[in-house]
Amino acid sequence: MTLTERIRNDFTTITLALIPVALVLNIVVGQLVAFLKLPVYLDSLGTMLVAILAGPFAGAITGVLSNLVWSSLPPPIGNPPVAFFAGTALGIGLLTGLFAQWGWFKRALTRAQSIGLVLGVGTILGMLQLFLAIQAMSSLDFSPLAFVGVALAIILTAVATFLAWQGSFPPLVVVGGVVLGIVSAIISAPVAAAVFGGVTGSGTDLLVALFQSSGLQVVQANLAQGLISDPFDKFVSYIIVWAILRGMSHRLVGQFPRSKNLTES
Amino acid sequence: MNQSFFLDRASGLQALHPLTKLMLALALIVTAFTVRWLFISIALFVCIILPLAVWGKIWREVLRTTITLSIPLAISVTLVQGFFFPGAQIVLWQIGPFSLKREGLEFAFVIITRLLVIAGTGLLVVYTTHPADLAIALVQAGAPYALAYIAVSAIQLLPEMQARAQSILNAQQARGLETRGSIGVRIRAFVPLIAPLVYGALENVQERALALDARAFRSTRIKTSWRELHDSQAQRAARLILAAYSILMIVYAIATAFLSR
Repeated sequence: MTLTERIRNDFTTITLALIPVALVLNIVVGQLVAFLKLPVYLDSLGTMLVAILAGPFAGAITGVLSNLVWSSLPPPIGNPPVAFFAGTALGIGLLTGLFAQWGWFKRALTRAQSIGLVLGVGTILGMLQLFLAIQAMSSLDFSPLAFVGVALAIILTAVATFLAWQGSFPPLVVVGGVVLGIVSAIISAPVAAAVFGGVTGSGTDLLVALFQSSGLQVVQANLAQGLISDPFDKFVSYIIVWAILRGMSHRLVGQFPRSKNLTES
Repeated sequence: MNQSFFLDRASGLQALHPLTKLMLALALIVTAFTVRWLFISIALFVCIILPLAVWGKIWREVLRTTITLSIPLAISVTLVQGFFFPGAQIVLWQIGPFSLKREGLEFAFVIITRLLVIAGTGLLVVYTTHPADLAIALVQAGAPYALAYIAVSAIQLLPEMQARAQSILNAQQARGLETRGSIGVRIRAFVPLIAPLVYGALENVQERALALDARAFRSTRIKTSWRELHDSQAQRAARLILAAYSILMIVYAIATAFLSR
């Protein structure tokens, strides 16, 4: 099957009906989370749902349009500069769709395999933070606080390892969430630095200030902050999306073009 | 479409073709990012965006909204970059262990004025363009019809879904759900709020798909539109010039960035 055929098969009527609903879910769940003052964003649950049920391209389109629509809504919801993060949203949709295609939302692994994988991505995350902290050491402003990112990466890995060991959901959901978080932090950091000067007007600005004062450049400080908040946010998102999909009726799931992403062949 | 920004006021700006406004917005934003002059963004805002807003009879809304949107970010960026801009030397003001530095303040100024330009141009477009007109313009320019459907129906769906979220919140609070307090309490409140919202929305999807099929949405025949767009030769020429200008500026910026390495 060629790529264009595959995309055409993904865009069935039910996919088209799902995308606007998912797009609005992104916004409304994001608002609900902000209302509850939870320390996560959870603003791409809809994008992830589309990506899993209707493939990576449908997911990517949902992500991009979410950001564009979001940025054109009246305040306090909307904010035009948010459109610059469309690239991150595209990455979230595309990657989630690929992970689902590879069976990450259904496949079970042995306990040893899953702990190994979680430790593997945890190490990558920790190495990235370590690399940033080492770069800070060459700066005159260097302070050991640059290593906060490494410490938090270790804590996140410990939590994820515990979840994989406990085994109440597919371990690849946790692994995928952390990988997605790393990727979206990397896409977002240059945009956050160039468009927003590294701040968002929320609590994470304190982390950016901390990293800059301990010797990191603006983009690097944003990356270090993103590598803390994004993997955590995305893996919590994946667990919630996985739970939502488990609770959906088989009759409804079966109507979507990629329902095989969730059921054993 | 009570959630859209659109203000129906008769003016020349409202009558412009949506793509002309989009191209103008693109050119303004590209200029703000590529011209290396401290005051370029504030100049664009005062000399181009505000006069256009006056022409469109929307200057009050544009000014008010850009300022309310920018204030939280402006405070944050001034504090973070004013005090912690990497490599800044010139100290303007010392407070305890922290010092306010000139380079950081300049960086914050560039960012804030750029945000004014981005928000201001974005608002110029959305305040003076009916969302349906924008969708039609994009479809006529070759974008798939499905994209227009998604964007417009999402804008219509949003108030409905927000109302549903609010009624779920009220219903659960009436049953004694705590939404304030420790982090544990707030995490526990999350599931009873999100589950009915998400499953309700997903149930809705099937009905929407049936409605689309019943209206021959997938038909490949050219669809006619109830709304009509006005275009002119002059506008087509202006769009070409603006697009060419934006591309040239981007190429120029990339080239100088590489050469200065």
